[in-house]
Amino acid sequence: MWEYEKRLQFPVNIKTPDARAAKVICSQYGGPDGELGASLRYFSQSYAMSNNKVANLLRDIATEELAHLEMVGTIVMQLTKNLTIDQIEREGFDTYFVDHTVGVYPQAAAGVPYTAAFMQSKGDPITDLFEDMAAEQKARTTYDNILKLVDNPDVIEPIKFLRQREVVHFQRFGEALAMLRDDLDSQNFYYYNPSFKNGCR
Amino acid sequence: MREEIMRELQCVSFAMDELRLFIDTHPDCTEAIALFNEYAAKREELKCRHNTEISPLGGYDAEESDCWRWVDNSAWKGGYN
Repeated sequence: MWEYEKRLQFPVNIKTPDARAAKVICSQYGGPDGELGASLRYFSQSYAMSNNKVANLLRDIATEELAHLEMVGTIVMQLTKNLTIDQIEREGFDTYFVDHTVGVYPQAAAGVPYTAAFMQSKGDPITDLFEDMAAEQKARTTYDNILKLVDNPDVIEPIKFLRQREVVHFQRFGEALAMLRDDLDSQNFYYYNPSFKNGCR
Repeated sequence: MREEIMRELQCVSFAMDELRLFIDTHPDCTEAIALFNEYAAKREELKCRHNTEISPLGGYDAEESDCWRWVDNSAWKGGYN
């Protein structure tokens, strides 16, 4: 169960619309390395996580990712507020506009709709944690790329915050991997899958 | 005033978000737990102020007036107009 609070994790206050920026930033809403996929990935994986402390960490990070989804949605909404048809056409937002007007829709920047195929829940704790560490790095790279494409400080500040969170989550998942390895056979971490022991020896 | 309370809430809550994840992987760090509790007390104060002076912050918070101010708060849209 969640308790929803009406606030953003980090302030978003963009005064100038910018359809071009919205078009690339929406990828972190529903793209391959976006916040929706991140939240769903960690939440789903937490069920099969053998180490209880790590399972709880997955839940905590999944929860924070939902707050990031909310921030990215807010950024896209503010960037597309009060756009004229002329701006929409000139700034290349017409291909998004024709399907979604200025509604917030989970898709990659190039238009691929969100799909669970962007993520994995493998039911093997070590496998899942490696995926999670890679996911944080991929999201960090995406934010780095976004920072190369935007120039408005009102947009840059929340994007820098989100980028920094990817770095922190990567660190925490690395520590979680070490905790998990302590539970396993140090001679062979892959001797069996701690979440599916029967029949695997 | 509204902006000021929200900014403080965001700061204190974020400190707790960061500490929560840190303590998840460092459960024996009593210093971090003490800091977490210190921020929790500060946050409780700010939340009470928000609930009384602006509107309920969370879905389980009491409505401290005879109006349903819950639906008037769209702080999730960001900005303050």
